[in-house]
Amino acid sequence: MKAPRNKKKWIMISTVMIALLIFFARIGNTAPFENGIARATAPFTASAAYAWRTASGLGMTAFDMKNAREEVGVLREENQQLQETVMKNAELARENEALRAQLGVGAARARTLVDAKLIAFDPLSFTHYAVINRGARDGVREQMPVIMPGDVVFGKITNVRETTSEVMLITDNENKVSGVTAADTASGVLAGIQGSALLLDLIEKNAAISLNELVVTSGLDGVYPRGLSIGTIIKIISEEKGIFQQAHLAPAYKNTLPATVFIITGQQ
Amino acid sequence: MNAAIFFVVGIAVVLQLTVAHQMQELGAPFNFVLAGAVLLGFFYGNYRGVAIAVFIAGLVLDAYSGAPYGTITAGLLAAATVPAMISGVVPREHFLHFLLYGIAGTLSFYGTVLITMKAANFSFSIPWTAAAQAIMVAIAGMVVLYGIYQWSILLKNRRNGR
Repeated sequence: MKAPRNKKKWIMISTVMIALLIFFARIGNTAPFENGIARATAPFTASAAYAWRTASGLGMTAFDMKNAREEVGVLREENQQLQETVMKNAELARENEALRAQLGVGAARARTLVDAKLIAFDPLSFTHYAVINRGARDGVREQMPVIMPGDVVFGKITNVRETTSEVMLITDNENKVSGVTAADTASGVLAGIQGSALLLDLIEKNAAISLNELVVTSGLDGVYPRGLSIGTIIKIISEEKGIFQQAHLAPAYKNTLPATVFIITGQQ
Repeated sequence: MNAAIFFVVGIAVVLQLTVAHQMQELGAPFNFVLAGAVLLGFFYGNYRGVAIAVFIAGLVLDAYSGAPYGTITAGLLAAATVPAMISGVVPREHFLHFLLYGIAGTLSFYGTVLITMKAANFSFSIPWTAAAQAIMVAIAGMVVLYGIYQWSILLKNRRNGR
């Protein structure tokens, strides 16, 4: 008889605890406690992330070796094309510099970057966040954009602690970004949709967009500077009755645990 | 027994913060801690021990989540409590007992998580498709793990000539 009474007792305690947790989630005054736990567990999480990156990296190396011969051929071809592009770009850069000098416009603005390591991803599948090992003591502030090598948008800082920060990924539903096609023919507002795809909404009905077109940040949202890669268009939705077009995008950032990301802490 | 529960839940937390994201990208948003809570409760029957372990695990996971603090903790506590309430409805030896137990745990977890997120932010729109996908993956994963466990017992018994 004793066991069922004990069971009832802790079931009641659990129910009260769940109600209290929902209440505290509603009033949202838990930051000091949350920050304390994050600070205490961050070293362990960072070590686990490092171990996982190393292990999955080894696995990928073995996988890559299998396809190495095929890839070498493709990469050689790509390399030749890229060398041509680099030469053209160098020429364009010289031309650009000369034109800027003639017009009296200063050089392109340089960014101040802080590198960071990803130590964890959001454990829930409904929200898309990541935690990095840089915080307030490294000069990180809320709303700072986070990018990956190659000027690829990763997300923005939403919560800063002393040594760590939370990054809302570009694929999160709440992360609204102003985007424009690379050819500057169409613009719209981006947000994450189910899974890890992106939806570019509010595109003018008559704007020209095409599949596989690159979408970059427009700089109009006040968070992300202009010209950062967001993703490529994989589906276009244009209904006859609608005023706007929509497009689904595959995000440019690779959905793995990347070793390093960069926080844009300032623009000169 | 409590040490084993804490060890398994600890491993599940590490997997949840590292591996789970990549599984999610592959279309299988599996929750290791939820699976741990349900399987440990089912096999050990130490519901209170499991509830304490997942409560602590939830507090850690919440610190790394974009959801309001306490969301995952409440969900995991529900996942450890609700199945315990219904255990005994179906004979324990019956496969349906585990299935019922797993479904109750999974639905309690995701139900509580979504209710908490909605309560914390009324403008939050419930991602029904993602929730349905997560529930199906969780139940399927638990059934597979249960199957592996039963199969290993069967092999062991055969080896011992029983």
